[in-house]
This record gives sequence, structure tokens and C-alpha cells, in this order.
Amino acid sequence: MDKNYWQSLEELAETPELEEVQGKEFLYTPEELATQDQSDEKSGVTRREFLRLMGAGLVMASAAACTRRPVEKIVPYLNKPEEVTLGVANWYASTCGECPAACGILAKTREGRPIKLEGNPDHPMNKGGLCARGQASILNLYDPDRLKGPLQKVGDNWEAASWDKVDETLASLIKGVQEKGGQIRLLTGHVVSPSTRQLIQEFLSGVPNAKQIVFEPLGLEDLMKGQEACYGQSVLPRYRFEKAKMVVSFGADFLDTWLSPVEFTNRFSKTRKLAKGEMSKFVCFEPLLTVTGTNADLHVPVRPGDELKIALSLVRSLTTDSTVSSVLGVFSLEKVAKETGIDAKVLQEVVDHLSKHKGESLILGGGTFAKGNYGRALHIVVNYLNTILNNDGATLDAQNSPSRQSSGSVEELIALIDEMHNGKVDLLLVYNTNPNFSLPRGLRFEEGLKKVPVVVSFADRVDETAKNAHWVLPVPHALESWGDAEPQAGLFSLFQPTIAPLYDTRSFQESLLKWTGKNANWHDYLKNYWQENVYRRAGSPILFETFWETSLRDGVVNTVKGAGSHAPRAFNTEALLDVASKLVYGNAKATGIYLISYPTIPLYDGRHANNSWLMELPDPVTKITWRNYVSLSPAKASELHLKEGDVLKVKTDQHEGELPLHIQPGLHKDVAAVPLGFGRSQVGRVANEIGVNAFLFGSLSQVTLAPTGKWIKLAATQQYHSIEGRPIIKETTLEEYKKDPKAGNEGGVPLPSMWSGHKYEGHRWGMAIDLNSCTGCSACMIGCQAENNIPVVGEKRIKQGREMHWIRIDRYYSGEKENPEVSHQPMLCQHCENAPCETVCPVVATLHDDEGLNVQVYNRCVGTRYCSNNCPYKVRRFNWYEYLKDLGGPLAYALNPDVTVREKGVMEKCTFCTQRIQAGKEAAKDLGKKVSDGDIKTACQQSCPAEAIVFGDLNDPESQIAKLTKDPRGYKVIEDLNTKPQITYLTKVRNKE
Amino acid sequence: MEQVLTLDQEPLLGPKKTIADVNEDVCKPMERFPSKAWWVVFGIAASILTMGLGLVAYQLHMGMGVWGLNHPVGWGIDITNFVFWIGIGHAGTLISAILHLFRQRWRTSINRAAEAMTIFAVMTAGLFPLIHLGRNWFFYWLLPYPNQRGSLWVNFRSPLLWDVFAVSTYFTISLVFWYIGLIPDLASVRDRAKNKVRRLIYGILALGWRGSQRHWNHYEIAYLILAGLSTPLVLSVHSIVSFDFATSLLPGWHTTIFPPYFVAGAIFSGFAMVVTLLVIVRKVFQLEDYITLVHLENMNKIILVTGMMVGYAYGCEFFTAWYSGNIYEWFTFKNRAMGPYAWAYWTMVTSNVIAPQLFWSKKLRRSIPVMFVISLIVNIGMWFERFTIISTSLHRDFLPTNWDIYIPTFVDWGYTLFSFGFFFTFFLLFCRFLPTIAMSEVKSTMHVGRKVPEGEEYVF
Repeated sequence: MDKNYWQSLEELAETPELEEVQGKEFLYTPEELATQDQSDEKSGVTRREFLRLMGAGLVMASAAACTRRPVEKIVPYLNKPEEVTLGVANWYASTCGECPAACGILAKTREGRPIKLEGNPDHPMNKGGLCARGQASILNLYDPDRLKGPLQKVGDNWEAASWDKVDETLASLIKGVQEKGGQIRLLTGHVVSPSTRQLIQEFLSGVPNAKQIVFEPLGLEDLMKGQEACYGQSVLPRYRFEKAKMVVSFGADFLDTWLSPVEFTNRFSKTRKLAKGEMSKFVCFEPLLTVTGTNADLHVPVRPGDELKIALSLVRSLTTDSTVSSVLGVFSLEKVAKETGIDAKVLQEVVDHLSKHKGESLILGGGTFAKGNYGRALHIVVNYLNTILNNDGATLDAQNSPSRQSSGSVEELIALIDEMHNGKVDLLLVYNTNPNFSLPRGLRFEEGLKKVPVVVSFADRVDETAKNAHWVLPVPHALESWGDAEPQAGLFSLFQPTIAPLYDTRSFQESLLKWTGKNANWHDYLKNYWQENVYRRAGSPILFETFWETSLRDGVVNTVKGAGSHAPRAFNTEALLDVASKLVYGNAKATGIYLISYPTIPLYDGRHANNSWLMELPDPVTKITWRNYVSLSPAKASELHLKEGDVLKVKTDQHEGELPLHIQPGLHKDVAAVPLGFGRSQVGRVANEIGVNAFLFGSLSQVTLAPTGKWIKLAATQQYHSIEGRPIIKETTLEEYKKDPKAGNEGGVPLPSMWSGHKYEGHRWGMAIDLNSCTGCSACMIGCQAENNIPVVGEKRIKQGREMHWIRIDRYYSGEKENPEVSHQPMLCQHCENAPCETVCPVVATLHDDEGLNVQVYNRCVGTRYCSNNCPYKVRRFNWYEYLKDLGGPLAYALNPDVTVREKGVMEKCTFCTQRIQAGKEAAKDLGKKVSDGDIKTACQQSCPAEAIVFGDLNDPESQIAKLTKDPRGYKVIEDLNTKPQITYLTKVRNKE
Repeated sequence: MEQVLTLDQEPLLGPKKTIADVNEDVCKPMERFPSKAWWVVFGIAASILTMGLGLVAYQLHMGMGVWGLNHPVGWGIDITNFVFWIGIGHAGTLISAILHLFRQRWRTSINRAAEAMTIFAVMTAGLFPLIHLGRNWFFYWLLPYPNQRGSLWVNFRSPLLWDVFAVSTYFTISLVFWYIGLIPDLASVRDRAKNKVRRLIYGILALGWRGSQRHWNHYEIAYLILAGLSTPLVLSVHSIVSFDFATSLLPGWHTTIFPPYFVAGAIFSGFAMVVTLLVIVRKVFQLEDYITLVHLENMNKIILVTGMMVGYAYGCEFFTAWYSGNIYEWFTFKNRAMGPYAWAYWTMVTSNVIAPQLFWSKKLRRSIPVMFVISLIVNIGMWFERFTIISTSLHRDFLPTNWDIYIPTFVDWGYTLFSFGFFFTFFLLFCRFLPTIAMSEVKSTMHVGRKVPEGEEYVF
């Protein structure tokens, strides 16, 4: 039976008028309208009026047509993927693939595109922090210079190949090599993934004579050898800085790049927060000035090679073993002090502190210069010190959950090079390492490589090593692939893809699986591995599928039991005696200057140098961007009559190159230091042919420096290094602090005002920055850059003084010229109560909002730059050009859609991450609760491994920020100007006499 | 003929000039085909103007980055030129209005050209705030007019906005004052016109002036009122321009002495520019009999006085910086005198304080070559004064990490050149098309009908 469907009540009533109208598109045709009689008052449109409107319409239409607008389409998802909501970010837990430390990360994706990486707060290692390189690795994902598909070398040219062809050819090749009993070698970087390690073993075990060689350019092989010699166990200890009240480092740059810097920064900073009025003491003996050295309470520049003597003198003074002390008889503090040119009082002070802190101190050795036998010897002495100070098992854990963040053997690599030269290698697979870049030419790796009949490189670009390969098989970025990591024994984390692979890439593991003829894909293999290993170890009562889902969600599974303390291991004293006997005391001092090539925070070993954020990130110590240089101490430079920027010919027995001079206080007089990571030739358009490859100079060699007569301006973001006696940095000593927590923070008379000030009904946002725990690592700068779409301007513009970073780290020197004390000060918009910028803007483009933010309205800004001129902190940044206009290709995907991309001619500055504040408020509203302390974190705060930045609501008396603002250490930068910043800095306290 | 003359006694005009001569001499350059010299100079000025327009296009396309400005130094030569030209624009109104109120009759020969200079200098100055904007195309957002951008309005607390009012008011009043003064002369030109077009154009401009008693009566009253209105403006414009700096908190800018200091400097540079221009104009248009040494010497005296006022201000600033005990302020001044821009500072001191001292000598202040050179030096010195104030204060302010150096690029210098091209194009057109000397006013200083004494060559 037909049901009666009706559209309206009229229809139901079936009026004749309606019947007439029904089905017509227009009630009246336009003609009818136009010709309707003038007398038809009801119609409302007379003929004249119609003509008038038509005329006006014509004019408007033709005027509008004058500007051609491009056709833009806003296309929503036709089939919306589950879990994706437009405008709402999805977060995925994963692991950072940037360096072997393998920190846990959270990847923020918007509409299916990863746009920002943050540390995973649940990861026990990095606890939410992430270093500059880790955060910048999002750009590597969108690097336009990545390979788009596999390549095969035909003659001298590269030709695109299909994966089918690759598999076909290589499977038969491998089979051929197997059949004739040939040699297959797999050269990799450190493999932090346990499942990949297993897969590699399976792959190699199927092939007779096959072998894996691990090469890490900055590996800690010598440390492990030292452990083996002392404790009979080749292990990388896990260092527990949070337990150490006294840290002595002989060159180990644990806050820069050494082993697990984010974790160490986090743990170390915990001892610098002055909880209960106490803080650790850190003494650093090193030949150059690293970020680690800048954070030392006592930084002692030493001549390379003197570390061992100094360490032995400490042994001599601290040991109770009469054999040892008699063998080390010559290493008395006084003698060593005299020979190394260090004040004996300094050494005595270190000895006193160490003996006071038995079981709660930590001695470290390392650095790029401590290599080979010397490095091993240094580590043995350091181990001995740790043992006699009862640190073994207390502040360093070598048994419970030791580190798995480095491996590799230079000996095996040298053996491989020999084999290659002798034509013994039939097939070489290279994965995740680039020896042709990071080995000195003297080892003749490249020549050897050319003698291998088939070289297959797994790389994301034709890098220096892949250039000599026959096949280059592009691997996906860490954010596009599955994987796992075990950075510390028993601590597992997962990699999960956050985006479909952008290009025709395939993971290394997938290829191995294919070639071994296993009928599994990598994801299943990984899952299987986890089921059999991690799941079992975790002893989880839940089903594996649920466990897997949970692990993916959390990103990390910690199967470590206990806190990490263990009984001290037995020390093989022979090893120490052996070192002591071989060291000839009082040998004639070698003359000349040593060259030290060292890794820096921005570039590490240069593996991902094609990253403009990192190239433009000022080195935290020298503040130089975009190139490397050779650093000399001020004394040496004046002795050689050299000035900053003079281009020198730097020559060692291995290599020579031209580098500009940088004069760096804090260096030992006999040291020339060159940052690593530059001088890539095959990495891409950003970093190719910039600077000199410092690996080529060899790790510690005598160097000659000759002026070339040329001069270049170094692109430094900071050129003056003293506070000029101004109340910018306030500092005190621990002793003074204990007497009066306000020490160093005197003055600050409240300035009278005739104005009652702003009223804040709801929130009032503020920030506190602890100068004592900030290490200057610059992670916040990249965090801010990623969050706020901050453009990169290039070397030329940096030289002009036009960097765009909203937050920067000001680094000041004080004290002695040759070995100054260093202070790092993050500087960003202070969101002043009495903001000087706000009064001078003629168009009110910058103003105060009702939550205490100093906001900048880009759309209103006309670009007078008056606000910047009047800003005492000079934290405003002007768009001199249209910087992001040409950001074509995949790089544009990295932009944060929540933040406006600024036009040329507009002023910009730190917004306190206003979009994150908004998101936090919305999230709280959705949950029907108030914003609570810690819900909203600015990007800089979130990324800070040292937790030195605290942000929150000053109107909430219980918030951390409200308490810190009232801290006796709290002060405002140049508060005598009465700008009343919302940012409180906490004084720096040095633990020194 | 040797005789000691006081200011009143010394004749203001050259010998043997009749009233007819005045019209003849002043209008002659306008009525004949322009000389080669004019064409050459005009060609150069117009070419520079055109080049400047090219720069504008380049900057609009690329962005403000083509200037040498950078992070601490947000203003450099752009605002230097703005303040410089506003300063130049001071002498005109001062000469016309203030000297008129004080009945200084010697002003009559020079006021027209000086006022024209004012108008064109203010126009030139006005270019720079527009050019220096990051988004020049939104310059009108600085104007408070009812708009459809919601509740958006200008910020009345911003000295930059006060500038907009001060400069536009000054320009309007100066222009009207100048035009009113021109009316009787325009009528003379109209009456002399030999063709219709000319007669028509000047006729319209002369607003039907017939020279009746009634006309003169109204004219004189209007002129007096406008002179009264302009007088405070002479003081206010540069005071307000100085507020751009004085109300900020930057050491070297934040100074209460700025308003009088800027006004004195403006009069100083304005007079120097009038001397420079008139020395050329009287030569090129053969007006030596109208713009005599008396006029030039009087102006040189003013240059000497204001130069010393400026010198006092320099010293006073330095003393205040030291005596205040403010570390930022004291550093800024030490940095001015001994920092990387010390050369600019000492150029300024030498040119503005030391050079004018030569005018103590009567011989030197009556010497055309000497005064020409000194006026040029003063102009250069005053340009550097603004450069020093703006750039050296900005380049090293509170936080040493921000310190940097400002190195002007070809664009910065190009715009500076452009400003001269712009100014001279207009000034040369003025010399061609309008009477450069206020004929009617000059006539009033002539003692027509007096008997020429025995042996006396002047028309008294």
C-alpha cells in the first residue's frame, strides 16, 4: 500500500496554489520578474529598480573580475579514515631513530601527516624530553633529497629499478655467492633493535662465511674494552646521575652526545634543582669546551693526554691498596699538578669531595680523543676510581639494566677493509652506516669498496658510501617503518609508522626477509619476536594481542626489575697496574697543537646533516651556525696573531683543509678543535660541501695551522659574551645560597607605579626558567621551531643578524678570559606587564590579552618595527622576506596547521604557544573540568630534558609556577626597567669554593 | 662707497632696482625657454627619482630585507632620512611665519624659496615612513578613519601615530600658507602671460586676484592668521618627531632634552639647506640683487646660534648620561664616541659644532664659497646626527647577546639618493613654474619714490 509522503502541511491540504508551484524550480522566471508591471507594487522590484540593480551588478561583477583568484578547493575526506578527525591531532608513541640512544617519542600527526615529535613522558629514559636532533628529525622525513625508489648502477649511471628486479637479482646473487662458497659481509651501524639483531643472525646463519661488522663512528668500544679488562665483562654501564653528588668527567660529554645525552641531562639536572638546599658538584677535565664542560662547577682545560695522569693522581690519593699506591708513587697530586699546569689545590679539592661522597659519586671517561689504547687505559683508571669509591653498582649499573646504545669494533672494520682489498669479499651489504664519510682516508676504505664485486647499500640517499655501491635500496624513515629498540637491557620500545611511506622504499629488514626466502613480512616477524621474547619477559597476564596494542599505545615496555643497584663487581687490579707500568712518567712533553674533532649537539656525526633546522641551530657553545671552524684558545690565537674568521690551512698527517678560525675561551692552549658532521658531499642540497669533514683529520693528531690570508665572517648569532655588569644573569655559590637563598639576587627595589596594572579574572600565564638546571642544549629552540612554523633564513641572513628563532639561548662568559665560567640563558618574549612594545605600535597589532599574554596580531601588523626597537630583550623577529613562500615539496607537510604562516613585512615572536594553551583549555572543557597545573605545556617546556622551564597559571596559588615565581632565587631580567616580565628566572648557583 | 650700515640701514636689495625690475627679474626665468643648465640638473634629479621608483618596486617585490637593517637595528637610514628631511622642512615656516610675526623684513627675499623647500622636504620626509613599513600597502591603517575592520582603530598612545598627525598638519598648514602667499604673485604672472593657456592656468591659480584694497586687506589678515597658526607648528613637529625616540626606553633615545634639541637641530639644518639652495638659485637665475649678502649673512648668524645650541645639547646629553649613573645610558654614549660608529659621531660633532664657528668672522660669513661649503658640511653633519642617534642607540642596547652591527646596503644608500632626486625634481619644477621670490613682499621693502642722494647708488 502506498504510504502518503508529504512535504508540507500545504501539500497535505492540497491547495491549488501549491499544485501550480510544485515541481517548478523558480517561483517566477527572471523574465517574468523583469517584465512585471510597474504598478505591481507587491513584487517589490520595479523595472527601473531592476535596471539599476543590473547596472550596479555589472559594475561590481566587472570590478570583482579584475582580480583573478586561483580556484581553491577544500576537499574533505570522501571516506573519512577511522580515528582521523579534521583539525584534531592524533598522537602515536614510537621511538626516535636519530641516534643509537633510541629515546621514546610521541609523534603528533594531523590529517595523517606527522608534524611534530615530542619525548614520550612515559619512557623511563628520556621522560618527555627530546634533544634538538630528535625533534628536527621530522624534517628528515620530508627531506626532498631522499631517494624515491631503488637504484641500480649501470655503467657509471644510476638507473631506477623495481623492487621485483632487486629481489630477483639479489636473491640469485646471494644464492650464487653461497654456492661458490663466497664471502658475504654485512656492515652496519649499531643495531639497537633486538629483533633486527635476531633477523641478521638468522640471515647470516643461512650463509656460510657470512659475517656482520658493526661500525659506529662515535662508538664507545674503548669503554667496553676497559670494562672487560677490569671486570671481565664487556658492557656499557647505565650511569645513574641522579644518585651522584659528585661527578668527575674526563672528557665524557654526557650532556652533548655521549651515549644517552637526553637521559643524562634529565638525571643530572635532578641534582641541580637545589631540592633541600643541596646540589651535586661537577668537575670536568677536558681539552676543549663542550656543553657538558660549560655546565661544570669546575672546568679544567687539560692537554690531551694529561687526563690519564690526572686520573692516576686521584687514584694515588684515594686508594687504600698499598700495591697500587706504591706503583703510582710518582703520581702525587703536586707532581701531576706541576706537570699538567693545573693548580694542586684544585686536584686536592676534587680528592676531598670524592672521599666525602663514597658510593654517591661518578667518574666518567671518554670523548673523541680518548680512543684506542689511550682510551682503554683511561677507562681502566676511571673504572678503578669508581670501584674504590664504591660507585660500581651504586651510581653505575652494569648488571641490572646496562646500556645497549653502542657497539662496534674498529679492529673488525680494519680487518674487513683488508679483506676487501684482498678481493675476499664477494658481496657487501651496508646498512645504517657511512664509513666512507666517517673514516680517515688513510684507512683506504673507498679503494677497498671499489674492489668488492657487488655492494648493496641500504640508505635513504646516495650517500658517500652508497655512491660506490652497485645497488642503493632506499629505506624508509623511522616514522614510516615498524621496528623496535632495546636501548637498555630489558627496556623495549616500538617504532610504528605514523604515515604511509612517502616514496617507494622498503625497510632493510623486509629485504633480508625476502632474500632469505622467508614467507613473512617484517611487521609479522617483529610481532612474533615480541610475542616470544618481550611478552614472555614482561610476564604479562594479559593476552598477547592486548599486550601488543598496549605496547604500541605506550610505546615502551619496561621489563627491568629493581632500581638498578647491584653488588660491586670484583676489580682486576692487574689491569690498572698494567696501565701504570706502561705509562712512562715525566716523558718529554710533546710540542705543538693537537687537533680534536668532536661531535656537537646540532649535527652529532653528520649522519642527518641535510636538515636546515639543525644547520641553523647555533652551536650551544660557539653560537656559530651553518659551517664548521677550527677553535683555538684566546692565548694561542694571540700568540699566532690570528683573529676571528681568519681562514687557516689546517693540516694533519691525514688530511688538510681550510677552516675559518673561531677563538673559543675554555680551550686548552695546545688544542685546536673542529666540529664533526660537516663537509658532507652526498647528503643533499642543504648540507653538501659546507665546511670540512673533520673525521678526515684523524681523531687526535698533531696539527699545523697556517693563515691563508683569507677572512670570512662566521654566521654567529651572538657576538658579545659578557653581561657588562648588568642584571641579566644572577648567580651565587652554593655556600652563599645556603646562608641566604636570596644570595646573588639582591636589589630589586619595587618600583612605584601610578597605574593599578592589568586585571586577570581567569588565568594568568607565566613561566619560570631555572638557570641552574638549563644546560644550554638548545632542544627548546628546535621544539619551538617545529611547533611554530619558524622559518630558516640561511647563512647569509644569519650574518646580517636576521635569525628567526623565537627562543634562543644566550650564553655568557664571566671570570677568567682563558677559562671562563659559562651561563646559559633561554631568552624569549617576556610577556611584560608593562610591555614597551604595546604602547608604541601605531596600529595596535601587539597588545595585552586578559590572560597576561602579550599577543601579536599578524594580520594587523604593518611592519614599523618600532616594537622591536623598543623591546629591551630584542626577542621580536621581523619577516624581512617571504620566507615560507618557496617551501615547496614535501617540506610543507611539516608545517603546523594550528599556527599561522607569517607573511613578509610582519613582526612575530613567542606566543607562549597560544595554540597549545587553547588546545589545553578545549581539552579541559571537553572533560568538563578546570585546566589543572601541568595540562598545558609550551613546546620549549615540553622538550626540555632538564625540566628547566616551567609554565603555568600564576593565578592558581597551588601551581608549580606560582610557587617558583615566589622563590627567593626568582628574578626578572633587567627588572630596573619596570617592564614586569611574566618570566621569572631562578638564579644560577655554582657549587664551588 | 664705504659706510657703516646697521641691519635696518643696509639695503636689502641690490642697486638701482625699480618695481618693474622686480617683476621682470623674477618672472624672466619662468617665461623663457629653460636654460641648458636647468635641463641638465633636472635630468639628473628626475633620473634619480626614476631609479628610486625602481627601488620601491624592488622592495615591494622582495620585502624589507633588501635594506641593510637587521635584528637589533630595526630603523636605520630610513628613519634617518625621515628625520633629516623633516628637519630641513623647518626653516621655511620659521622664516615665513615667525620672522613675519617679528617683522623681520629681510625675510621677504627668501621666504618663498624657503617655504617651497619646506613643502618638498616634508613631502620627501613623508616618503620614508611609508617606505620603511614592512607591509607598505597597508599604510592607511595608520589613519584613524571609520572603517569596516570591526572595532580596529589606531593606537593613540603610539608616538608614531602622533607623527602622522604632526607631519600631516604641518604639511597642510605650510602648503596653505605658501599658496596664500603666492596669490598676488600668481596674478602678476597671469597678467604678464602672453598666451591663453598660460593665462588660464595662472588665472585659475590666482583665484581672481585683482589687487584691490579689499583683496589686500583680506590677504594680509589671512596671512597673519596663518603665520600665527604655523608658529607653534614649527616647534611641535620636531618635538613630536623627537617623541618617537624620547618616549621609548632605549638608552640614547629616552631623553627629556630631545624636543628642544631636535627643534634647534631642525632650524640649524633647515637654514643650512636654505643657504645651500639660495646660493645656487641666486646664481643660476641671476637674482643676486634680490637675495643679497644681507640675507645670507643673517641666515649664517642663525646657523651659528643654533649650531651652538646643538653643541650644547650634545654636551648636555653626555653629561646626563654620566651623571645619572645609569649604566645603559652611559654605555651607549661611550659607545657613540668610541664604538664602531665613532666615525659617524665625530663627523657629526665636527660638522655641527666646530664648522659653524667660522661664522664668528664677518668676513667668512659674508663669503659665498665659505658659506656654501659650511652649509653643506652642516647638512652632512645633521644627517649624521640622526644616523648616530638612531643606529648607535639600537645596535647595542640592553642585552649584549643582541648586539650587532648595521651595514647599509645599496638599497639604503639608493633611497637616500632617491630622496634628493625627489626633492630636487620638485624644487626645480618650482623654480621653473612659480616665482621664486615673493615679488609683492619684496616690493614692500623698497623705498620707492625717495630721492637718490648725491653719490648714492641705491634706490631709496
